[in-house]
Amino acid sequence: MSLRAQIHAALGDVTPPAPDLQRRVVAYVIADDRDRVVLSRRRGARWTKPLRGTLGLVAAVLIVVLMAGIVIGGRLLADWNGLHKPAPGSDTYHSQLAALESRPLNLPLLQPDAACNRGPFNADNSALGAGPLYWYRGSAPTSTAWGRYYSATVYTDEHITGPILVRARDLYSNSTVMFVGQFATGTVAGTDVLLGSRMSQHTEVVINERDAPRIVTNPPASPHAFVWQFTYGFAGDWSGRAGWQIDAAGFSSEVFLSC
Amino acid sequence: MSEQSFTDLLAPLVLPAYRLACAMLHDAPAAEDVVQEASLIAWRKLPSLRDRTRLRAWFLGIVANECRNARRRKWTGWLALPGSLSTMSSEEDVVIRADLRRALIRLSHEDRLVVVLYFYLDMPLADVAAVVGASADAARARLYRAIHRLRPDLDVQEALE
Repeated sequence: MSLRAQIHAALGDVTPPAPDLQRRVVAYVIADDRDRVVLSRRRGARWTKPLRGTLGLVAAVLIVVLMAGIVIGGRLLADWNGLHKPAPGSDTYHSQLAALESRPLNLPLLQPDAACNRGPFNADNSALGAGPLYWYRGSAPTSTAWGRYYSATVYTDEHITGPILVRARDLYSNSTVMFVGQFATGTVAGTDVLLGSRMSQHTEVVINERDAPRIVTNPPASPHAFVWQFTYGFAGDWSGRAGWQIDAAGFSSEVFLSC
Repeated sequence: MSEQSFTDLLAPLVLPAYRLACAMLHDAPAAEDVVQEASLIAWRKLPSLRDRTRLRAWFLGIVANECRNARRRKWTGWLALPGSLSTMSSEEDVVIRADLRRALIRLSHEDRLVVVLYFYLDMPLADVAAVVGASADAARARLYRAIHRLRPDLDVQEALE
């Protein structure tokens, strides 16, 4: 599929038909100023014009107050968390992570002629995983000299404390899936140039509730509180079909297959 | 000028303008607002346009400028992740389209504009250059750069074919 066709399809999704628009635009342009206010979709836009300076000032003050609140609140929250949760870098955190890393991998190795069946899925079939962590989706690949990389979106639907360890293997070659960028950790197995930057390829990803941006505006974040994105890659000659093992203190290993 | 003059001159450009605004903003109601405001601006400035053969490029340039203003006005709307995260399913093309939209929205206004004009409105490079107010060579260079940023893995020459 050509890039032009892809762009037509992608932007066609955000261009709904507007059969009445031409008539409305003509009416809007031809109308006198008073009628135009009535015809305008943004009715507030004109009468608020004289107030914009004042409103802008009030908004700026509110933003300053809000920022101060965030800073102070963030410090209080950090202090509170420091008292109640192991922080990355602490002995407790490292011992928890070491315990997770010591768990054996339970990922299958498929024979070349064996089928790869994606699953298990969550209750409404919208994400991989039986929970409490779900692999929501992967992006289109970005190719490099080494192989191809994808962005994964995962989320949890429960309050999980401590680190969550993500490891993956190519199901046919048993090669370790590589992680780069944010959250990638563990052994450095190599380097690669991705989007112009030299990146270290790590063998695992560790995510933590502390690192997760709270996204509440888009599904699947609501009602799920924590969503992470990280980047993983396969070498060019691997199958690109992976088994994923998730380990955390709050639950035992979760294995699912992305085929 | 009369309603008939407007209908004759600018009305045929409303739909391309709406497609351009939708592609730039990914927000149909905001796109309708933009087209409405741009049409009014164009209508008021029309007497100053000497070369009527440039009408389409001139009008789309106003629409593009209004898109930039709309995006500045509506800054809160862009804090959300661009485009809803589509469900992971066998509909891989849905995911790919959403990814492409996310990549487009991450481009700068200028880069996104040349991509949309060239690939979505199917305008020749000379017309794209007229809309963005640049030479054909500059428009081509901007398009190359935008494609590279959009899809680093893609051969630019192949993409343009």
